[in-house]
Amino acid sequence: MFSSYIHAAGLKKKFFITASMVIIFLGLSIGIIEYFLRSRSLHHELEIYGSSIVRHLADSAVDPILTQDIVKLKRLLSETVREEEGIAYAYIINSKGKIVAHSFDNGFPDGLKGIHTLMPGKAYSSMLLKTEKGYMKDFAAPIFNGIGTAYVGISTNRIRDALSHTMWTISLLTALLLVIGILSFNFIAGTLLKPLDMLTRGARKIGEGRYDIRVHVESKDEVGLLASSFNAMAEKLEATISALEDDIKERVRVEEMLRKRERQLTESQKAAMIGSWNLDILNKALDWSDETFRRFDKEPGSVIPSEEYFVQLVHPDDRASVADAIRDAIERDAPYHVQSRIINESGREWVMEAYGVVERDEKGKPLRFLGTAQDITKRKEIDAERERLIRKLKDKTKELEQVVYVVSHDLRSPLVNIEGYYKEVEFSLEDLKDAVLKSGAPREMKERVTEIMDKDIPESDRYIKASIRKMDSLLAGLLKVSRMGHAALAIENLDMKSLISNVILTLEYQFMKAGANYEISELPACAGDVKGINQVFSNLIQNALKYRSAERPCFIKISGHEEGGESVYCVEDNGIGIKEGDMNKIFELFSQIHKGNEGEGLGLNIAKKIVEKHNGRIWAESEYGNGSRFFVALPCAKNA
Amino acid sequence: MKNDATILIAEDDDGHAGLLTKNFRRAGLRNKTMLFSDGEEILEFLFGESRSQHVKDGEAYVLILDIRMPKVDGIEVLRQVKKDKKIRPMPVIIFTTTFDPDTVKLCQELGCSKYLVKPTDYDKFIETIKQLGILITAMEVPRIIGTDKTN
Repeated sequence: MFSSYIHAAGLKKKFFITASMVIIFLGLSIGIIEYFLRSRSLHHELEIYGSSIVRHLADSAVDPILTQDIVKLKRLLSETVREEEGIAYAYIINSKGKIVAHSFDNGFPDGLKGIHTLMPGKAYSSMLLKTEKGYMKDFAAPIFNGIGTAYVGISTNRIRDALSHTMWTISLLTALLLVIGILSFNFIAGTLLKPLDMLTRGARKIGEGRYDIRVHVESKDEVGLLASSFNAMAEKLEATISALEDDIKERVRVEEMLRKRERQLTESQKAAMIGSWNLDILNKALDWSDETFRRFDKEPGSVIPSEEYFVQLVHPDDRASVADAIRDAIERDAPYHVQSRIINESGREWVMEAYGVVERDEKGKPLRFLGTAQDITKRKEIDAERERLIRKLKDKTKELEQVVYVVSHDLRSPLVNIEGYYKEVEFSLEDLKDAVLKSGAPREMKERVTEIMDKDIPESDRYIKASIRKMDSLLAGLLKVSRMGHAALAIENLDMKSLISNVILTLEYQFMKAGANYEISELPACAGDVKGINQVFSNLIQNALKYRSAERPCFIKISGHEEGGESVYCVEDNGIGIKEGDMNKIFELFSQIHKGNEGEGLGLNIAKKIVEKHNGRIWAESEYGNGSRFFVALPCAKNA
Repeated sequence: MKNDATILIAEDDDGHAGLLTKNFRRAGLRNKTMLFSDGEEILEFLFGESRSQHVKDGEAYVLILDIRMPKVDGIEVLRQVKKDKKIRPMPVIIFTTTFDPDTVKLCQELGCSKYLVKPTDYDKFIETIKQLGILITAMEVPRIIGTDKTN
């Protein structure tokens, strides 16, 4: 129990206990040795003292005994008892053993009688007696050749008192030693144990989690070294712990973020109805997101998905192609994108679109195959419907173009006849006129015929011919429009500056006639069909010339820039402009907003058709009375 | 000898055919003309078995061919003419309302001698007829030499 207490006690306590025990042991040992030594010497002193007193008494008692002077003898005894220190009693016996005199006031005690007999021939003898007054040393000495024996009793209390005194001294010394020991221990503990204690406390605090604790030890001894090592360790620990804490904080943050992301992912998967999946290739474990389960009409987690489970849900006709796609993705890193019909266990059939990628280790070994699964049944239906409508529209457009083509041709045939036979009629009328004029018809009739021939018919003639030309020009335009629909484009990169320069060159005569001028700035290249684009700009520039203002010389500016993957060109004029209400009509078929102008009203419609076949855009801005700007956006030139 | 080639006109529009012959006369062409109102008729004349209506060996012919005709169109007629070893040398002048560049290109590839668009402008029409006349006059019109079908 004590040892366990010692073990449990601190270093200071241990040190304290050990030191105390050593001091107490030393004090005890010294005390015992001293006690015995002192006791022996005191007993020896008592022996000497007792024997000298008894012998002196024996010598002094010779005369009174010989003279039978009892009074003197008694006096001698009481003097001895009174004068000599420590004498408890004295008595004398004669040679017959009879007590001659004694110093007892109350009679001679019986217990003392005959207890101590002196051996003959001895100078004295002593004997320890136990009385009611404590231990007594009884000394006996013969009186002059055996005429009697003198006895003196000396109390050993003196020895006891002296020993007791010695014991006290020793105890005091030991106590003093203890005090000194404790004081010096405290000093030692202060200098030696304090840093150790601080270290201990520091270590405990670190144990409690306070890593900012440092120990300040001035000394350069082992403890000092230990302290600085401790501090270094604490610092390192603090740094490590702090790094670890940061790490943990970061990890917690990341985990929180991950959870948030996962929630978002789940929510967005649910909203978008796109499920995700993840195939662990090594362990052949397939993981489905909740949404994926729902796609398959399953409660999340209600089945354990596997590649085999999935494949058997695929429509039998699509199974082989899906299996091939999976193998190609894993073995040949082919992009995984499949559309396949799925028949759920519930019996519902749907179309799944899946995308996937394969994750590989640095050696290219496939680890995971992951991707998405989406129900595209509706999209498929819509796509099919859209395809059908597009096809229908294409058919209709083609049909319409065919109608336009045929009609415009077939309409030209009667026109040829009208023109041709009208001319024949004219010839015939001329013949008729001649015949009438040369005949003997009355003068009024001849005058009437001449009037018809010279006035009425030319008037009709003008209208008929103008109508025929107009009709012909309209049919030609229609034909052009319909041809635009089925002419294939030969797309190439076009140097637009030289293209437009050429267009202007072919229009040189019109420019001259209109007194027009022009400016072409730097133009970006574009990708287009040279004939088509020629036509577009020819039409735009011709329009600019045609609709010039009478108030100012015509000036046409052509500029361009690239913007968002398109080359945008602008044909700007200072002509009569377009009324706001007419802006949306200008690109329509046969739109001629300025009545009385020449042309079939097809130029802008044809330009629009061509630009749209290039996947380009055409639009106009105008300020009525000040001019117009026509914009054409075409795909940028492709890098060779 | 050059002007005695027979002008074969394959034209479904009687008006156009009439205008052609009238204007040939006016332009001074005195050649014999034969009219066919559709593709089938001209093919029958060129390749058929009928003795009375058949190309005669040793005669020279020029074919003026419209494209849009009932039954068999002009393109097909041209194709068959140019496929036949015997008839092939005969000049074929396409005279049509169609000025579609693709059609023009196709006819030229098939081997037409000339491609003319019917104008509606009468003066131009006359000019074109004259051109045709000159063409027929100037053209080296090979005679059809019979090989297997000799009388």
